[in-house]
Formats: sequence, C-alpha cells, structure tokens
Amino acid sequence: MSVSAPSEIGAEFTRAADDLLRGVLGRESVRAEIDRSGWSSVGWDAVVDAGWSSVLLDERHGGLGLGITEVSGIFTAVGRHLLPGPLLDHAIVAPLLANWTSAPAAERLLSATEGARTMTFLDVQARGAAHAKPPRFATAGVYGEVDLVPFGARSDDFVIVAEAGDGRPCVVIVDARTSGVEITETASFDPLTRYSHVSLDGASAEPVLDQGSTQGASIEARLATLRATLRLMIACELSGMARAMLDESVDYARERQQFGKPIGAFQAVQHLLADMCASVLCLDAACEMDAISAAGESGDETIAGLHAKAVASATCRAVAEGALQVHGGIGFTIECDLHRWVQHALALQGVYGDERELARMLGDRLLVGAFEPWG
Amino acid sequence: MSETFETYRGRARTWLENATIPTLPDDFTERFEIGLAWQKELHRSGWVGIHWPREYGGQGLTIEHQLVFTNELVRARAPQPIGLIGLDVVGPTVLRYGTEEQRRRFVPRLLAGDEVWCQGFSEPNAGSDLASLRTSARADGDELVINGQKTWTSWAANADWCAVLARTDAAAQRHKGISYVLVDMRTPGITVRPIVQLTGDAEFNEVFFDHVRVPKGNVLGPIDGGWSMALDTLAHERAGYALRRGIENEVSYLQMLDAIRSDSEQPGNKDELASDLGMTYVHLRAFRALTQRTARRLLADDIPSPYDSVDKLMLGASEQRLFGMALDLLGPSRMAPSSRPHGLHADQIIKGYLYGRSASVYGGSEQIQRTLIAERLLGLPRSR
Repeated sequence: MSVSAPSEIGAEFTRAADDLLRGVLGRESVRAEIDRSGWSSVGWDAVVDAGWSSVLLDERHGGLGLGITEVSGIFTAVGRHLLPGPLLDHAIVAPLLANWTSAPAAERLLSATEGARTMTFLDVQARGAAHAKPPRFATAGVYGEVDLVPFGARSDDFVIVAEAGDGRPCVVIVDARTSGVEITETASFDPLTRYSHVSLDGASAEPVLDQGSTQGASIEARLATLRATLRLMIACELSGMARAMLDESVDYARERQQFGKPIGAFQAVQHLLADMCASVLCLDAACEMDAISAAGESGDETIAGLHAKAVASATCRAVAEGALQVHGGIGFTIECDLHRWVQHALALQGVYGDERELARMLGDRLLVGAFEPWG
Repeated sequence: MSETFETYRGRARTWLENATIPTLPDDFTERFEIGLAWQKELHRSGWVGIHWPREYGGQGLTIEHQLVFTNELVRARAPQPIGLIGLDVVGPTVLRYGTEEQRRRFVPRLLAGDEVWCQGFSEPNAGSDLASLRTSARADGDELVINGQKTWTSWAANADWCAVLARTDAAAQRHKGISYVLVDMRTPGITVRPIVQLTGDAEFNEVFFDHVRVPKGNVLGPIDGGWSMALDTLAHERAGYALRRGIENEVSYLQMLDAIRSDSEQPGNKDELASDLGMTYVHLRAFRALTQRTARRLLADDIPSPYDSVDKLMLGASEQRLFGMALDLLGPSRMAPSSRPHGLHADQIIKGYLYGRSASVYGGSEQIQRTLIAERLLGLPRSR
C-alpha cells in the first residue's frame, strides 16, 4: 500500500478559503441578501478578487498552473460556508478548457477566469440525464433546450456542451444576451441556487473546444476529464457541507437541555451523532484519496470521480437527515441555519448523478472488467 | 539502511510466486494444522515479525515493510499466519511490558509458530464490561492460584499458552487489582470445552481454571497493573487490524467479481446486479480511503487514537455490507452451500456472512465504539 499524503499547498488554500468565506459569509447583511436573492455580490466579488479561478489555469494564461489536489480545499470551504455562485464554472470549467484548447475563442474563457464576465456551463449530463439530447451546433448557431441551469439569469456567457455536425461533441460559447437565447427562471427550493431554463434557437456560437482544437487528446477524453473533475469538486463541496451539519448538530446537542441535561448526554443521540461523524470522516478521506488518484499518473480519474461523488451524495443526504433529527423542532424551521445546508445538499445530490446512478455506472464497468477495482 | 519498499515488494512477490501456497480446507482442525505449517514456512524465510526487533526473532524492519508484505500475501491469495492472537496482541504486549527474560522466552517461539497463544479475557458475565471480570489469581508463596472461567476464547483448544486477565486484589475497585498472567495451557486444573460457532467452526472455547498454579514470574508487568496494559495493547493493534481486514475484504470482493464475470449463464437482472456490485464497491473503496489515513497514523506512531473507533465501526459496516450483498445474490440458495448462483461459491459466502456478523461485536462492540466516538471525538458528555 502506498501511503500518499495530501498536498501542502492545498492545505494552505483550504485555510485561506476558509478564513475568507467565514469573514464574508458570516455577515448578517450578506446572509440576508442570499436569503432574499440566492446571490451575494460581496461574496462573489471577494472570490473573484481572491483569484481562485487562476489556480488551475496554465501559467501561459497568467494562472498558477496547479492541479486538482490544490484546488479541492477551496470547494470544501465553499460547502462549509455556503457560497452561492457559479464557482465550479469559473474555477474548473473555464481554466481547464482554456488550458486544453487552441481555438481562438479561448480568449472569451479568460474573461470568466478574470471575473470580468459571469459564465455558466451548460451540460445536459450534469442533470443526471445521460440519455438527454445535447443542443446541436451548426454553422448558423446552436439549437436545443437545457433545463435546470444554475444562475442562468445572472450569466453573461453560456459555455455549452453541444453535438457538432459530425455527431461528435464540442463545447461552444454563447453570449447570453444574444438573439436566439431565451432564459426563463424556474422555481428552486435551494436557497443557494436559482434555476433557469435556457432555450437556444440559432443563437450565434463560437467553438471553444472541439476535435480540431483539443491538442492531442480526443474531445471525448477531454470531456470525461472535465466531468470527473467536476464530480470530484462537487464531492468536496458536499464534504464541507456534511462537516458543517455535523458540527452544528454537535453544538446543538451540547446546548439543548431536556430532562435536566444536554440531549448530547443521551446515548441514543450520541450514537446518531457518532454514525454521522464516522461517515463524514469517511467522505473526507474518500475525497482526498480520489483527488490524489485522479491527479496521479496511474489513477483512473473517471472512476475516482464516480466514486467520490457517489460517497458524497449518499453521505451528505444521510448526514442532513441525521442533523434534522438532532435539531428537533427548530431544525424544521427556516429560523435555524441548518436548512440552507440541508436544502442545498438535496440539490447537489443529483448533479452529475446521485449515488444510485453512479453506483450503477461503476457496477457496469466492473462487470465488464473495464478497470481493476484495487488497481 | 533497510532495503527500499519496491525492492522488498519485488522480493516478497518472487518468493510468493515460488512458494506452494496452501488452500485452507473446510475442516477446522485440518485448517489449523495447515495454517500453522504455513506460518512456520513464512517464518523460516523471514516473513513473520517483519517490524519486530531482531534480538527477539523479528526482522528489524519498519511497519511499512509489514504493510507491503501483508498486501503481497493478499495479492497472492495466500492465507495470513495462523497465530494471530500471539502476533497481533500477546506478542506486542510482551514486547512492550515484559522483562528481558520474558521477551526472550516467549517472543521468538511465538513468531516461529512453535507456540500458539490464546487470550483469556471475556467471561460469561464480563463482555463489553470487561472490567467486571471475576476470575481470581490468589497469591500463595511464589505462585498464583487461578480459579474461574473464561469464554469466547479463540483457539484455546489448539493453544500452548494463554494470556489471562485475572483479579489479584479482590478488594480493589474494578479496573485496579487486575493482573496479566501468562499461563501454560498444560498446567493441571485447566479444562477446555470447544464451542461450535454459527459458521460451524469450533474456534471458540470455554476455559475453566480450577486451582491452576502459575509461577509469579509469569505475571506480565506489575501485579494489579494488567488492565491498562491489556487495553493499551488492544488499542495499539486495532489500527493494523483494520488495514489487514480491509484488504481481506477487498480480496473477497474480487473473488466474487471474478466468479460473476466468468459465469456464463448470468441470470437475472443485470442492472440490479451492477447496482449491487457498484454500491458495495463504493463502500469498500471509501473504507480503503479511511485506512490510508490509518496507515499514516501508524507510520507517524500516532496510535492509539480515538479515530481507531471510527475504523472499527466502518470496518464492521463494510464487511457486513459486502457479505450481506453476496448472500442476497444467492437468493433462495442462502443456506445451500453447494449451490453456485451467479457462479458464486455459496459455501464461502454463507460462512463469510455469518462470520461477518461478529465484526460489529468482537474487540469492542459497535455500540461501545459509538460511545467512544461521541465522548472522545465529539466531546459529548459521558452518558454512563
């Protein structure tokens, strides 16, 4: 067994992100804005200024050129402190596409990593709809429907996974305010996300990554890497959320008194919290191991992404339910902060597949011997 | 400077490729004999006591070398050495707390498989509440006289020696007044009664002590000071056990997967099979992630730790999930050991499932572990 340790720089980023977000999102006014609008201008400006979108970006584009084990801790902190906004799109999708592509339109991705424009990634597979049809891209423009687009109404640009004329996938960029784009806000129960439905009817689009511009790897392989990385980072975010819900629950169990003692002195409550704690630690370890495995030479990033996201989806859902139980009546109200994590966890559970879907994808691969389980 | 892990791994792999690896038979007594012969062979070639000091028969290497070899054993589908109570628990306690004379007397033979150990801790009325044990060891001149009864004593019928926790001071409070006594199983007054377990094996025994006389020189550590020693060592060994058992479960999974893949008939719902296999893989791989941290704690000598309780809890859960899934794949053949649904070996799965139910009981039940996590990791008030 090789015993690999997490990265030092990653730990630095985690601490810095934690401090920054605690400071900004701890403010009463910021939380009120988020509750009202599902957005925080102060919070978003702060992360843009912090330069998190440049962590993965190559040095030739003015980035830091680091890897996913360095950036993952930022997402754990985002989950812990519940920052709203398309950070995955800005800190993962934009820099990776910019690193890979030779297309001239890559310049437009950099306006997202620099924070000049707000960008959202539209991938029908993100909604768990592996079988859903992606939009079509033809010379005249892009055509199709994408549902449940987070922050769609706040976006300046859409980066869209589409199907090119030759049947192969490609990624194109569309100005959200151009003609042929229709954005309809749809209802959301997640206090951290506002959804939109995006209709594309001949909207003018430029390719940012296609088979002609991938510089070596196939477009399919690039998209697989992108989705694996997104799954890993969402897993980290869920891990931060699960940890926060556990901490909230332990604090509450120490404080809340019944029968003349804290409810955390009762074994029934203790054992529920102990189970939550064990699964939170396991998720944290899984995120770390899978990120290291995906970043390594011999690791299988797709498997690592499927695994981390499966553990995260199952764990965060179970921890949310445990936390609600520990909090009793107050947990059932929006007066208690817990509801933000709970509802956001339910929203993220299914993004790029929930645990059932992902377990099936892993099982399918295991049955045909597509990878060595303990390789 | 010891050899690098990669060279060591290569040497271990080559040795295992050339060795005749035994298949352990069904019959318990035969299995014990073959396992013991395998331990002796491993020892002759320097694969036992890898991180133990050379002067007591070990190889003087590091715990990481030991982890490398454990992995190679599993990779080669080879059994572990049989004398695990000695290797995992009694030996380390003797090394840590024994006199020089005791170390030289007991450790080399224990490593060589020349002497097999069992551990007399649990009693009919002292399970999770081990400190309420009642077996007594009364001083009489240069000897202790032991009276009482131990139970769930694994391998007692095959063991040469037993590490007994006994009360040397009847007046002292629970945890005080307990001593750790090394008892020769051939001493007059010892009766062993095997107990057949759910798996059909008689690994368990009851051990009765009727005026058993033991020299005082066989007390390990101070008289009346056995309790903390015993617990400390148990805790020390927990981390290594979680790592090894985790790997064994991975091998069981791999064997099931091999069987299912090579099954030509592939009956039933493929989607459901993929879901079950996938979800179990998710859990086993998450446990592997957890034990990578355990390995780091071991290497940093950061054990025992309250995190060991997390490992223990999750190990039980993942082992039970693995065999629970496998048992369900047997369908109506759940209790028919000779059937082969999905190509699976029902006999191994039935035994694995039944044995797995003990994973949340032995070495501190899952309820005890949860209480420890609540108190020591989460800082919740004591509930007792």
